[in-house]
Amino acid sequence: MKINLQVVGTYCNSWPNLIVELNGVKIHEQKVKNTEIIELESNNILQQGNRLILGMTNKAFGKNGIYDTVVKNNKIIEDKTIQVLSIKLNDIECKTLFNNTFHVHRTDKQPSYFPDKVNTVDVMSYNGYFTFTFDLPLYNSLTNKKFKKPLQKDVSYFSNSSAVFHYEEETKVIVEIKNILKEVDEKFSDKRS
Amino acid sequence: MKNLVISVPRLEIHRPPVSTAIVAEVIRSHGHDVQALDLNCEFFHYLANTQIYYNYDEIWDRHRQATLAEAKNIVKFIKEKALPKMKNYDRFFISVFGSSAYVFTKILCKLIRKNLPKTVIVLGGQGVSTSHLHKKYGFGLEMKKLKLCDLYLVGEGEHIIKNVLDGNLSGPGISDDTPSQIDDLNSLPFPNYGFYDLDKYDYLSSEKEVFIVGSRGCVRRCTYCDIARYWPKFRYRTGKNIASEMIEHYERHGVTKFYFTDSLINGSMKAFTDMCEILAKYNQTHKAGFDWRGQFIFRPKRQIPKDHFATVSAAGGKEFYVGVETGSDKIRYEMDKKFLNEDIDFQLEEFNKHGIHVFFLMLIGYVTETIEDHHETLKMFKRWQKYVATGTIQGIDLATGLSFNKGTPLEQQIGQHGVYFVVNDENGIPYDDLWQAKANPDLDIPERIRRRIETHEEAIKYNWPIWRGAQRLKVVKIMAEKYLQFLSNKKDKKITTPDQQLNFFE
Repeated sequence: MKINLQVVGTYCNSWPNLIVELNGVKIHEQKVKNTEIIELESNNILQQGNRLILGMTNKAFGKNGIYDTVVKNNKIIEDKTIQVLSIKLNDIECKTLFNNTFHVHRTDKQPSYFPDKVNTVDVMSYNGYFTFTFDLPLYNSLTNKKFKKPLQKDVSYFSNSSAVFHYEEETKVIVEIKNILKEVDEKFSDKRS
Repeated sequence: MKNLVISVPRLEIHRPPVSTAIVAEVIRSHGHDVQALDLNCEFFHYLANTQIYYNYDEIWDRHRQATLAEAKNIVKFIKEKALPKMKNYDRFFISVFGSSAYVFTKILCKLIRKNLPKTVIVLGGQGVSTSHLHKKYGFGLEMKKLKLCDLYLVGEGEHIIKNVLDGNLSGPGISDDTPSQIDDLNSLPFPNYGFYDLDKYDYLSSEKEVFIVGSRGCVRRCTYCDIARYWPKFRYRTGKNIASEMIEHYERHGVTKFYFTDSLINGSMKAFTDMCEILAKYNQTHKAGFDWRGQFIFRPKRQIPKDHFATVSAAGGKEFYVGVETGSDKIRYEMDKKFLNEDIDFQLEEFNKHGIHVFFLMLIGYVTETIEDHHETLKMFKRWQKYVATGTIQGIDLATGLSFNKGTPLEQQIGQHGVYFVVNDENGIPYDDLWQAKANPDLDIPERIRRRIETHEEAIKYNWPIWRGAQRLKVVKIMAEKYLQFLSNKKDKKITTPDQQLNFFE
């Protein structure tokens, strides 16, 4: 599976460190200096329950008196961050699967009451990670995760966009049609045309 | 004379009706007193909830008869809500959009005759003609014979209506099946949505949306399509004229979303490109955020100008419905579609790059389709699955298969292919959809149905967004049942025809 990343690192004391993990195995680690395009390949894919993690690990929050965020007059003038512009698996953009949730790994002097999760589309401003899961076949799984919605009942079948990817009723009718075709074949194979 | 232009169920409730917005404006522009009444919208608000409204779809589509309570409710609605709004008018122009308007129109006209006997009823719209190969005449003539209308108009209403207003009650298109056509669409007035309360519609998003008519007829002559029967000649408005209308709706009503009724939105590349360039510029300078969709044709790659889709996207082109029909280049060529799978590859990639979405419209089991062609169709689900996962392909309508319709090039080819039809034992009328072709004996009815469901299963396997999947399959199931009944000649299992289903009102 191809994993293509486009990330932007911002500098403060040092460049941010990006970690990519797949199914608990670190498959990539590098300092992100400005915009970087990263192309990875992995065959460590399970049939179900794969987990991809993109994280930042080296932001200082007071360790040895160092903070990787510089504030002046209540304004951030320097900050160590990583923004994920794009994360593609086999050419499919998956950024929405982060679900706007960044999981924080509290370090140094970050207070204990600092939240475990923060709401952000794609920027890592703390140590921690974005993550999502997927199964195989990959495209089927990503399609469902990105686009399948709960089935709405109070909409005309004619314009019910929520009905797509819900195949239960279709599968039932297909069986009924196959049974009719079977009857046609068994009883009338000599009269069909 | 005071005129009332009426829309009836079933129409989509997601946008105000365009045909009556045009007709009302035409009548007004000729100096006559006119108002418009959207009974589809009134009925939507009359019922207790949305689900009840949609339950009536099965009645309008004549998939089942109305229950007694539903039938009473329709009559009650007309008597209590519609007729009081109609009583001060002398002449009604009722728009019959298609066959799904027949049930309501018939009841309405009966009640008009009974309660407002001195009024004139004029029917118009595509539904007044018939596309059924084996039906002798259409709904308009049927209603006239039943004395449920005084006139029916075939073809483009704009100038026929002028004749009617002037008292000229004969000629092409007036209770006559020769359609009347207008050459210069730019000369027509814009639809006037001021006749409607635009806040009453059940839009698909939080934004208001209206229809736009950019062209009439079609630049193509796809063999199975009967559009040329209604609109023999392809006519289109200039890109500037269309863009002006969209900008007017935006500036007057705040409308940013549009749905084109055209057979092909890009039938004229020049008009389409001009429109996109004007809208892209307007979007940039006014931050209007236009968002429009419509039926589209994939063109050969070589015909597409550089950066074309960037401009389409900047103009607000969001979603296109494309008759892909099959995965076989050979069959598409025989349908006269004139594009190849490699053209689809190119356009899907461009759509993906520019955030444009597409719906595939399919036709499984074409008259010349071989098993190899069918396998080509099955292959497309894997080939283009990537674009499902990117969200570029937003839907596929696998439809119910090929029917032979009046006025199509295929109708002319019936002899050439040796096509013959299964006859309904009940009424002796052949079924338009139960056909076989001597020239392609492997594709008999069961094989066509088998290929149709195999295609559906392949689409499920690759997780494609199948639109109206269960509803389409139910129609295929009815075909299979009709064929089984034909073979077994079971007299006890009655097949009801659409006409018989209308009897609930009697």
